[in-house]
Order: sequence, then C-alpha cells, then structure tokens
Amino acid sequence: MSPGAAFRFGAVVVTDLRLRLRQTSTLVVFLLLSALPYLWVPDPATGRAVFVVDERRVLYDSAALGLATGVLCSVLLGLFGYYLVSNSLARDLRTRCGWVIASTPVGNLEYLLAKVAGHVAFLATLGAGSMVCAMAMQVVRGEAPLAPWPFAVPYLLLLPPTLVFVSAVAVLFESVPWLSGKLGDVLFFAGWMTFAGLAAALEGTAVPPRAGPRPSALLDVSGLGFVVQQMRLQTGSDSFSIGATTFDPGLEPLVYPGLALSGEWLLARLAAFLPALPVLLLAVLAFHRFDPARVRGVAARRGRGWLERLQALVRPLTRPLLRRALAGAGAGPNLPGAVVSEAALTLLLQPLGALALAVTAVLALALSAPAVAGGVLPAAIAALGLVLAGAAGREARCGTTPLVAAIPALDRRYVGWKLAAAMTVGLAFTLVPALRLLAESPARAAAVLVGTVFVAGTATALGVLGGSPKAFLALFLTFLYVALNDAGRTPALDFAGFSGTARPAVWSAYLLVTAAALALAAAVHRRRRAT
Amino acid sequence: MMLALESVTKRYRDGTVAVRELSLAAEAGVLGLLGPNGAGKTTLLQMVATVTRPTAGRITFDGRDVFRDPDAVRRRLGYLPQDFGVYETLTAEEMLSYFAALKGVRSRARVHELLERVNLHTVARRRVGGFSGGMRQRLGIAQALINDPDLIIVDEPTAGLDPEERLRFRHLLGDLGRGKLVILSTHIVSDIEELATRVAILRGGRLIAHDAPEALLQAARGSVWEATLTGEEYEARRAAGRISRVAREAGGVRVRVVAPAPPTADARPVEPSLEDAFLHFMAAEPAAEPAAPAEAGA
Repeated sequence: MSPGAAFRFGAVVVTDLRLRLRQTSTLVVFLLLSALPYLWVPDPATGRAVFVVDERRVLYDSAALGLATGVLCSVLLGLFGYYLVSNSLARDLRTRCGWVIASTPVGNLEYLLAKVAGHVAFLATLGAGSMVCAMAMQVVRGEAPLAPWPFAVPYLLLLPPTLVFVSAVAVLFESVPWLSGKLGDVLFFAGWMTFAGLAAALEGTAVPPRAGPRPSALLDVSGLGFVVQQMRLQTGSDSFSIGATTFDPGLEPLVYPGLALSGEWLLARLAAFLPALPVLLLAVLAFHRFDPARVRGVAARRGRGWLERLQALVRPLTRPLLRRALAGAGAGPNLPGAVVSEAALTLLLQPLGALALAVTAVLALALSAPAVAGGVLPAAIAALGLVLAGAAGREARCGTTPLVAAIPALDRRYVGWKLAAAMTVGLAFTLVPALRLLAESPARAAAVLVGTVFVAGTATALGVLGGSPKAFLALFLTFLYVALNDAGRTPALDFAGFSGTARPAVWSAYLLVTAAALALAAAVHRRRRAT
Repeated sequence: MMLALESVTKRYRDGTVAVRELSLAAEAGVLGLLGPNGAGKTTLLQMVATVTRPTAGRITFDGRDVFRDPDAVRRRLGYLPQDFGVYETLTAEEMLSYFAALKGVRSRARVHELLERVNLHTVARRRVGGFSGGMRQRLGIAQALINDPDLIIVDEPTAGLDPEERLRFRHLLGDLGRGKLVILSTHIVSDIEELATRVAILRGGRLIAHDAPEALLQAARGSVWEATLTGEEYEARRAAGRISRVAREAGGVRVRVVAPAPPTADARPVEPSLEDAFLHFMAAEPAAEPAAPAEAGA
C-alpha cells in the first residue's frame, strides 16, 4: 500500500470509529454487552456453573472465566457486530457523502478494506470493554485472583477472526442492495448461528480427537470448533459444557489449565481469517461505488423482490381494515388518535406482520394452552419484535421528524406516543395468547404482558436513540434465541412467560430496564429537540 | 483546460433517459447549467464527476478520457453534490480533514485555511449536526476546494439558503472562477446571472442552448415585453405561461412576458434578462421526449 493509500485508509478507519463511538446506541449496546457476563456466569451457590466437565464444575479462575466469557463474546459480538456496523455504506448514500467519496481517487478495494478495518476496530473496542467488565465480574464472583493474561488469551484467539469475518460480511451485504435491508438482517442471523456452530459440530462428532488443527479449522471463524477440540483433548472427555448448567456439588471443582498454545494452533486460528477473503472479494465485485444508476436500478428492482411481492400480495387484505384506523380516532390533533394512527401505519407498512398477527391470534384460540405457550407465543413475540424494530426510528429515517414536531399533541410526547403505539401493536399480538394462558396460569398471562411491555419499550427506546432498527433487531433476536434455547432453566431469561419460570422479581427487573431505557430515550430526544 | 463531452447519453435501467446525445465543450470560467427540475443536470454533473458512467459517448478533461483514467480527473476535481449531507457527530474540522485525507491532502494548515475561507473557523470544533443549512453548504464547498481542484462541480448549491447566504455563496464561487473551470448547476437563474461566463440550458436531457450570456440575451432580444393587463387578461396569459415577472398595480397587473409577439397592443419591448432568455429558449425548443422523473435521483 502506498503512503497516500495508507493515509486515506487511516482516515476512513478513524472517521468510522469516531462516528460509531459517538452514537448513543453504542453506549446502550455496550452496557448490555457488558452486563451479559453477569447473566452468563451463574453463582455456583445456585447449583449451576458456567463451565462443567463430567458433572464437575470448573473453578472460577481467570483461565476458565476468560474462556467462558470469551466464547460468549465471540458468538454474540459476531452476531451483534453485524447489526452494529452494517449501516456504514447506507450512511454515505443517505448523506450523499458517498458521491463525494466516489469522485475522489480512493480505490474500491482500498475503501472497502478500510471500512472492514473500521468495523473491526469498533467491534474490538466493544470486545475489549466487554472483557474488562468480565474481568471485573471475576473480582466479584471469581474463586481465584484475577490473572489478566490467561483471562485475555481466549479473547485474543477467538475474537479477531470473528470480527474480521463479520465485518467483511457486513460490507458485502451493504454492497448488495437486496441484502442490505431487513432480509439481510434476518438471513445473517440464521446464517451466523448456523456457521458459528458448524465447526463446533464437526469437532464434536470427530472421532477420535487428535492434537493439532483439522481442515475444518478453515471454517471455524467463531473459534467454537477450536474450543471443542481443545476441551476434548485437555479433559479427555466428551461431556463438557460452557454455558450455565447444573453440576454435582459433591465433586471437587476442576482446575482448568487454560488453552494449550502451540504454533499449530495459532496457525489454525490464523487460517480462520481466510473465509473473510472471498467475502471481501465478492463485496469488491458487487460494490456500487455509490453510482446512482446502480443503486437506483437495484432500488427499482427491490420493489419487485420476493419479499415485497409477498407484502404486495397481502396488502390488499390488510389495507381496508387498517385504513380507517390510520385516519385516527377523532377529529383534530389528539394523542389517542395519533397513537391509533401510528399503530395502524406500523402494520400497514408491514402487511406480512399484520398477517402474522391474525394467524397467531387464530392459532392461540385453536390450540391447547401448552402449544400456545411453546409455539404460538414465541412466534407472536418474534413477529412483534420484527414489526416494531423500525417503527420508533421511522421519522428519523424518513425525514418526517419536523412534520411530527409540528403537531401539538406529539411535540413533547414523542417517546410516549411511539411507546403507546408500540404497546397497541404489542397487545394486538399478545393479548389473545395471554388470555388463552390466563385460564391455566394467571401468572403466566401476566408474564406475557410484561414481555410485551419489554419488547415494545426497548424497541421504542432503541429506535429513538439510534434511528436504525438494527441495534434493536440484534439485541432482540439474540436475546430471544438465548431465552428460547434456555427453555426455562434460567428464570431470569424467561422475559415473556415462555416457560412460566420467571417470578415477580424478574418481571420487575424487566420493567425497570424498560423504564430506564425509555427515560434515556426521552432525555436524548429532548436534548436533540433543544439543539 | 478543456472539458469536452461528445454525444453523451445516460439511460437508466428502468428505461429513463436522463441525458441524450449531449455534446459540449467548456474552458476555464464559470459554466452555468440551467434547466428545470428533471432536465438531467444532476446526472450530467455526476458523469463529469465520475460518479456514474455514460451509457454512450465520451467525456474528456484536458484530452484524457474521464472513464478510462478516472483518477487523473479525480485528482483535479472538487464536487459538491446536491443536498450535501453531513456526518452529524463529527466536528467541522474532523469532517473536512476526512475529505482532505480522501483527496490525499495531508496539510492541517490547508484544512484551517479552507475553514477560514468559508468563515467556519470560529466553529471548527463544533459538531456539524448543529449547523444551519448555509453552514453545511459552506462546509460542502470547503471539502470541494480542499485539494485546490481545477474542475469544480457544484450542484444546486444555493437551494434552501437564505438571501444572505446565497449572496455569500455567489461571491465565493465568483472568486473561484479565475483560472479554473466551475460548473454550477441551478434552476435559479439569478444565481448565475452575475457569475457565468458561459451558460448551458438543458431540457428533457438535451442541450438546447450553450453560449455566452450576452449571446443568449441577444437571441432573446425582441421577444420580451412589458405590459399592464387586466385581471382576466392576466389569468389567461398566466395559463399560457412565459411570464417572467409580475407586479400588481392599481390599474391592473404589470407583467413581463416572453413571447414572439407583443401580448397586448400597448405592450412595449424591453431588454431581456437572463431569466427572460432562459424562458425564451425553453419556449422555443420543445422537448422531444419526457424528462427524467426526478432530478435528485437522476
């Protein structure tokens, strides 16, 4: 790279980093990411531990906690990371700075590489912050003095390939306009969960374990396969788990020696950078360089994409029902009318969401209570999250904030208005399942309502704070995935009554988190209005 | 310094033809690009700025093909797009330094010099999210000038600015026109009246006139009239269009009309302004096909 190119490269990286670190949503995501280790690592006194081998829990020292939280950070930052960084080219398009960039001597490869590097730098900053918080957790909950290097080693081995790969995918998806929207967001979630676990699955089924990396190390971007292989070799057991699980308290805790480092293993982790290369190459090939002809052509084609075709098919069914509601309840500007209009608009813009609402309501009425709790409710909550993800930030994205600010009833109640509309949509999704569960267990029905408030409130808060639906989507999909996979083992994760294990203390915690997020959003919104 | 466009056509994938068979040559000075919304001005400027490629034809700058060797022109180019947005959380200094770096300018002194030139030096450390429209446009022009370009392209730079900011912008652009080629696109004729050394008029993607302002004025001479109309006459005339100025008076409506024949028996011929000349050419040359649907996206 020439000195001139290196200078340009550095400028893109630094600017990207500055822009991201100055977003309020970054702070919110960072706080949540930092809090996760506390949820992930249970106190052994509860009968559960984060790291268990053959029913023996592993002593909470730096090597063990570094590995446990490093694995969590790699998987989740890989997942969150995409959503956090995948709006960089879109920002350049939106501000038209992209046209200025296109008219400079910056090369496509150079620019996209710099974007990837900027993403990696940002995510690494988050990862480092999360690691420091996890170290602080060891001081609180650990069983041995903090040893920073053994704690950091798993992070250093697991995170870099993950961050590079996810950053490259984010740039690729942004370079392919039909992947740059919600479809890409959902595809990435499914793809990452599959891909991240692929190498681990391959290692877990490989018989017998052998020292040194396998060819599958090439696919082991998240490092899970590497961890599984190391664990099998080091413990000589196939029965181990990382993630809160029960253990035999009668057995002595095991001291984990830490990851075995060798040149071969380091080479294996370096090989995990390779999958990012074809992804980046594809991105360079697909990159539109902000050419309006290409972006516009794709935008025109996007209107005929399969998702939009499906929406168009459903729209005639939902439009007549929602049109009346869209006009609002009552003449003149009034908050209740505006709430109904906003809720109707949210569904009108996403007819598939409206259809999902109808289908889940019918199923909730038709199926048994266990089927409602185990199938319909998670589907309704998932659909609700997807529908609400973009609602609170719609004005910021569409440039209609000044129009809304000119309406007296909404001027000072923006967050309240968006929350009330989100709650209206939320209740439309969950009221029937909640009523269906009421007969079985009133507590469970109450938990459903708490979950509705939580989803509607956090979607509103993050939408107001960030404008983009991505931060909420990332957090929501991940949290939902973790909660559903936990299947009620951790009552604190049962945020919407899926398993019925959460108690009022947990509900109160979710309501408190929601209230805090909304208060922050309202304060930020007031400050923005003042400036 | 010579910019040459030879039979340049831009057709979008949806079939819209934004620019058709356009040929034009321009030397140092200020080239005013006039045309109604959707005339193809933005697309034309984007092609010259190497942002999008022509479907057919050729663009050269000092003899070098802009698309065979884009970096050659990019190194000498400053471009301010229409509705230039900002990275709201950066300061003016950070944002300008970013574009300076992309253009290979390493000098911090140059960044400060430009901020001073556009009168933003006192707010250099303030976040641009709090800037007014005029301040943002000035920052936009600063980034366009940061590499001391020979070819400066500014697309609708005064749209949305208050009269004072517009005047300031005109002076700034007027200073730039010496020894450089400035292409200034606008649909506000007064923006280029005092500035342009050449004026090109576009409609429906076609170049319908390209000449010195004096020559355009000369062509319109004898087609501009002033008359006082009754309310009914004015309404009838207004429907036919080509009224360049209106003033309501006690005895009726005083109008300035661009037409080949006097609108009333007592109408008197007057010296055309550039706006009159623009209307004259727009009336004289019918567009062959519908124009591009949206200038901003075109």
